[in-house]
Amino acid sequence: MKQFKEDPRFKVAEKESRIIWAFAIIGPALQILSAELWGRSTTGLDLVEVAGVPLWLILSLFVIPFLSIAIMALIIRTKFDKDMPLDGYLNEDALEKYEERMGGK
Amino acid sequence: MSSLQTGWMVSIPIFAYLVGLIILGAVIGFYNRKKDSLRQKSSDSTEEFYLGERNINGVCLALACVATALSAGTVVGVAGVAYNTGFNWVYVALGLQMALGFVNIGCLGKRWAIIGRRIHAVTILDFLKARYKSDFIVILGGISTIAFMGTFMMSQLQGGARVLQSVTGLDYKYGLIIFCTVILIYTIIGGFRSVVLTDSVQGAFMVFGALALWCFGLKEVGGFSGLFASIKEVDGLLLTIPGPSNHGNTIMAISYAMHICTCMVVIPSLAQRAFTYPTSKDMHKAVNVGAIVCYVIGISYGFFALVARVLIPAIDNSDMAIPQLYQYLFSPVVAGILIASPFAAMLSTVDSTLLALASTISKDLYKNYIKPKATEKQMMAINYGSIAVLLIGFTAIAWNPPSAVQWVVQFGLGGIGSTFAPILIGGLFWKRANKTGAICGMLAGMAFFIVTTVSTDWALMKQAPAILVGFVVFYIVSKLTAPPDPETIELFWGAYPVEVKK
Repeated sequence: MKQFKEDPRFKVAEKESRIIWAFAIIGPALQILSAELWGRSTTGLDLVEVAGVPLWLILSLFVIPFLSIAIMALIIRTKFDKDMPLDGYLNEDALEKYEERMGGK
Repeated sequence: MSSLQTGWMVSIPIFAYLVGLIILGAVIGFYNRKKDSLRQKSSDSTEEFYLGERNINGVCLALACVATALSAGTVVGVAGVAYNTGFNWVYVALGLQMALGFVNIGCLGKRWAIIGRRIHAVTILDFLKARYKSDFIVILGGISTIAFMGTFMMSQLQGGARVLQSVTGLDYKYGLIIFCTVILIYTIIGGFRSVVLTDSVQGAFMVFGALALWCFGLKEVGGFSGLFASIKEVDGLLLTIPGPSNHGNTIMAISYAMHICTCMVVIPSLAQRAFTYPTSKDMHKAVNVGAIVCYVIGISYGFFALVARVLIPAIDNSDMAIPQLYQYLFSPVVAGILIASPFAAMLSTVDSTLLALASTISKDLYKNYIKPKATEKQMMAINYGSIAVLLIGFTAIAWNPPSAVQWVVQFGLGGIGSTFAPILIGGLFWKRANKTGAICGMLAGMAFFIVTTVSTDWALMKQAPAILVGFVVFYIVSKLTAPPDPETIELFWGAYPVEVKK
C-alpha cells in the first residue's frame, strides 16, 4: 500500500490560480477606487479632464484594465508552468521528472 | 447615412449568417462522425459530444468562451441601460467585468483540468458528486441549474428575437422561432465541437463588429472630445457616478465586481469549457487572448451605447441601441453583416447553455438516478431529446417575456452563482470542505439570493451577499462536522490512483 503523497502539480496549479484571482480582484478594486476619487459628481473632481475626456473614465475604463491584463499576461508568460502535464495521474517516472523540474526552478 | 433603415437589405446578411452557421455545424458534425468511423473508435461519445475529447486549442477556446460569456446581457441589456443612465453603468457593468474573459479558465485553473480528467467529469455536477458523494447536492444542483440557467437562456432567446424584430421588422414571435430553429439544428448535428467552433467564428465576428464601431462610430460624433461635449449637453450627470439613476453607486460597483469574480467562475457552460484544453500552453493562451478580446468587445458595446444616445436620441426601446447604431452608421447590407455580431453573442450563449443543461439532464440526473446502466446510444438519445425539449420549452416561456433583458440575465446568473460558487470553489481548493457544509452552504446561498431578490429592492447585485452568506455557512458547518474520508482526499489531492492504494 502506498503512502499518501500529494500530487506536486496541484501546489503549482493552486498558486497560479491564486495569482489570476488576485488580478481579478485587484484590477476592479483599483477601478472602483479611481472612480470614487475622480468620478463622483458631488466632489467637483469629476471635472478633471484630459483632452475633453473625464479622468476617471480614462483610468477606470482604459488604463487600469489594460494595464492589469498586460501585467497578468506577462506573469503568465514568464512565471507559470507552461509544460505541466494535465493527465489525471502521472506514472512514477513522470512524477519524479516533474518534481525534479519544479525543484530545480 | 443619417436615417434608420430596416427591411430586406439588412435582413439578407443576417439570414445568410444563420444559414452559414447551420452549414458549418453540419459540416463539423459530419466530419467528426466520419473521423470516428474511420478510426473505428469506441471512445465515450458523450465525452466527445460535450467536451470535444478535451482537445480544444487555446485561441479557439478563448474565442468560444468570450462568445459564451458575452451574452444578450452585454450586447442588448447593458447597452440598453447605459443608453439611459450613462457612463456610470458602462463602468460598473462592463468596466468592472474586466476579469470576465479569464476568470473561469484561469481561476479554476489546471487543477480543475487535471481533476476533470481524473474523474472523467463532463459537468460541474460530476465534480460535485465525486467530491461530496451526495445525491442531494446532485439533484438539487441539477434542478437549480435547469431553473436558473434556463432563465438565463430564456433571456438570450428574448434578446435575439428582439434584435431580429428590430432590424428586420419581423414579428417578435417569428424571430423567436427562427432563433430557436437555427440553434436546435446546429447544436444537435454537431455537438460540443461544433458549438465551440461555431462559437469561435462568432467570437471573431464580435471582434469585427466591435472594431467597426471604433473605426466609424467615434468619427461620427467628433472623436472622444466631441462625444463627451455632446453628452454634457444632454445631461452632465451621465458622465459621473453614481449617475442619474444611482446605478453607479459604490455598493453596486463592489457587488458587481464580486459577481464577476465568483458567479462567472462557476457558470456551468463556462466551467465545462475549462475541462477541455489539451495542454498548459493552451490554457495560458486561452487566458491571455480571452482577457483582452472579452474586455475590448464588452467595453465597445457599452461605450457605443452612449454614442447612440448622441446620434439617435429617441430610441423607443433602448435595448436596441447597438443594432440601431449599426443601421445608422452603415449601409443596410453592411449593417446587416455587423448586426450579426451582437446576434452571435446571443446564439453562442444559448448553444453553450443548452449543452450544459442537456448534460445535466442526461448525465447528472438520468444516468445517475433513472437508468444507471444506460447505453451510449440511449445517452445520446437523451442528449438530443433534452436539447430539443429544453429549447422548445424555454422558447415557449419567452413567448411573453418580461420587459428588461438585463434583469432576467442577472437573476439567472445570480442564482447559479449563489448556489454553486461556495461549494465548487471550496471543494476544489479546500481539503476540509465536506458534504454537510456543502449542503448547508448551497441551501443558504440559494435561499438568501431568492428571498432578497423577491422581497428587497437593494441597489446591488444580490448574488454578492448571497455568495458571502453561502461561503460563511459552508465554512462554519464544514469546520464543525467530520472531515471528508481519506479516499476523497486521495482522489482530489493525491498523486496515485485510489485503486493503487487498495
